[in-house]
Order: sequence, then structure tokens, then C-alpha cells
Amino acid sequence: MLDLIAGKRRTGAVTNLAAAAAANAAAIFAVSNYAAMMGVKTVKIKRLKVRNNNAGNTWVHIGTGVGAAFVDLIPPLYSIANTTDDYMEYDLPQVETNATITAYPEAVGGGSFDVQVEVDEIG
Amino acid sequence: MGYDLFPHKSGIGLMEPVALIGHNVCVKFSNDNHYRRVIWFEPLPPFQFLNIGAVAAATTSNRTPATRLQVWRNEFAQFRWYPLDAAQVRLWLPEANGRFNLRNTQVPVDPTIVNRDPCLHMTEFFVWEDQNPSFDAISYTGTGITQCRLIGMGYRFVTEALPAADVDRIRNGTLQCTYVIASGFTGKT
Repeated sequence: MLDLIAGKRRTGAVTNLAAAAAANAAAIFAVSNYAAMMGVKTVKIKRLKVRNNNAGNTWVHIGTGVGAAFVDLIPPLYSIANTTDDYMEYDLPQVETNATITAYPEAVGGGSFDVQVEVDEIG
Repeated sequence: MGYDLFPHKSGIGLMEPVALIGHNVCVKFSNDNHYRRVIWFEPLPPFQFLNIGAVAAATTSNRTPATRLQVWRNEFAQFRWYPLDAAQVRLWLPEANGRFNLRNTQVPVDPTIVNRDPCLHMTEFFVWEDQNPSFDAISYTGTGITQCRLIGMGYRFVTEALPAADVDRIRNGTLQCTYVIASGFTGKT
């Protein structure tokens, strides 16, 4: 079906989160902002994978910014130790942002997280 | 023989040029009628031609000129467009004259247009030379928007003046011509 609003589906790299707290929020998807590009791009998260590598049971935040500037895009996701969570479009509020998407866990317990995001880039 | 091309045409598929090479057109801008013959044209694929920018909740932006839609002298362009972001966008052409006007309201275009009119034929407008349109955005959401991007597509036409004899034949109805409107009209009371 014709959809003139739809963007281009893109994926972020698998990103390891080895440190807790917003101060250590890492970029999981960088929105396109090349100066020579025509127009402004925004992104909506369509799919999210979170692998908990023996990091205990804890919350993982998905948002924008780092440290005090971090803002959640969606409510934090609870992750159980040694499991992989897969969130699809139906599970994810279709928040739109023109900022790079960052993520951090509230604790790592000596382990880490692997996060990968899939987005529609619009514009 | 008449042309089967005309403004706002909605056939099967998407957009068609309003004229082809060799066709006669009359571009109406304000009180001027520019009788021309098309000598060259090219398509303009969908592109983001304007970002009005952030608009706070329940406010209306200033009219923002879309200078990217200008063409050179002796040229006109045909555009269809839609907004990407949650705003009702009004077209002004030129800046003082609203398009899509009723007596008591000016009809805006919002992102639902892509479902209600997927070929966008009701959004079509024409630009004569450097007489670009302006747009303003009515931010109707409770949270405001951080950008208001407009996507446009269409055709660019290069034209030459018609001989006076041909203009007379057009006016007499003996020579085919396609009329296109490149400015708003305020209406008469």
C-alpha cells in the first residue's frame, strides 16, 4: 500500500552497555544530520533487542542524551538475567525524535547488555 | 485535438505533467496571463523543500517563504505536497494571498492527506518564475512539534513566448491551451 509518510528502515549496530547510570548512556542509533543533506530526519523505533549478559535483573533505559540531559523516550524496560528480550512495533510507543538514541542500564552486576535497535528514518 | 493533461489531474497512478513539449499554456499570476509554449521539462522527485521548524502547542507559525520552489525566468513549476509532521499547513501564493480559499475559511493540509488523497492531486499548485509560495503551520497538538517538514514533488517547465497570432487564436478558442493558476485569488464580495 502507498505510504507517503513511511521512512527508510535502518538498524543500529549491536552496542554493548557495560556501565550503569545515565552518565554512561551509549548511542545505539545516530540520526542522520549531515550538513549537505537536504531536510531534517527523524526516527521512530520499530524493533528493539536487549540481551542481558549475566547482569542481574534490572531496568534498561532507552532515550536521548547523556547524563543529566538524558530523557527517556519510552518507559524503562525490565530485563531478567541471562535472557534476550525482543520488542516489536506493537510493544513500542511510536515516539518520534530527531536526536541520537541512547541507552543505559540501572545496574550491570559484573555483566553487561547488548542492545540493537531498528528504526524508521523519516524525512 | 485537445490535450488530455490538465491541472489537478488524478488518473490511475500518481502525478502527470500538466503539459508536454510543444503544448501551449497560460500561466495566470495575479492579473497577468503569461501565454507560453513549453520547450523543455523535467520531473522533480519527492524532496523536503521546507522545514518551518518548531511550533509550540496551540500556536500558528509565521508565514515562511519556500524559496527552494523558485524556478528561473520564463519557467513555471507544478507541485504537489504534503506535511510530514502533526500540523495543519496553509499555502500562501504569493505570501499575501491564501490558496484553497472558501469565503469564510482557508483550507489547510495536514498529514492525513496521504490517506484521504494519496495522489495529492488536491494539493497541486503552480509557481511562476521566482514567485515562490509561503507556508504557515497551525500546531494543533497539546505538546507542540519540534519540526514541521514539507515534502513536495512535481515538474519544472521551460517556456517561450507565443506569437501574438497564436495568443489571438487561443483567445478565440481555435488553438488549444492549458490554463494553470500560479497565485491565490481573494474573491469578490
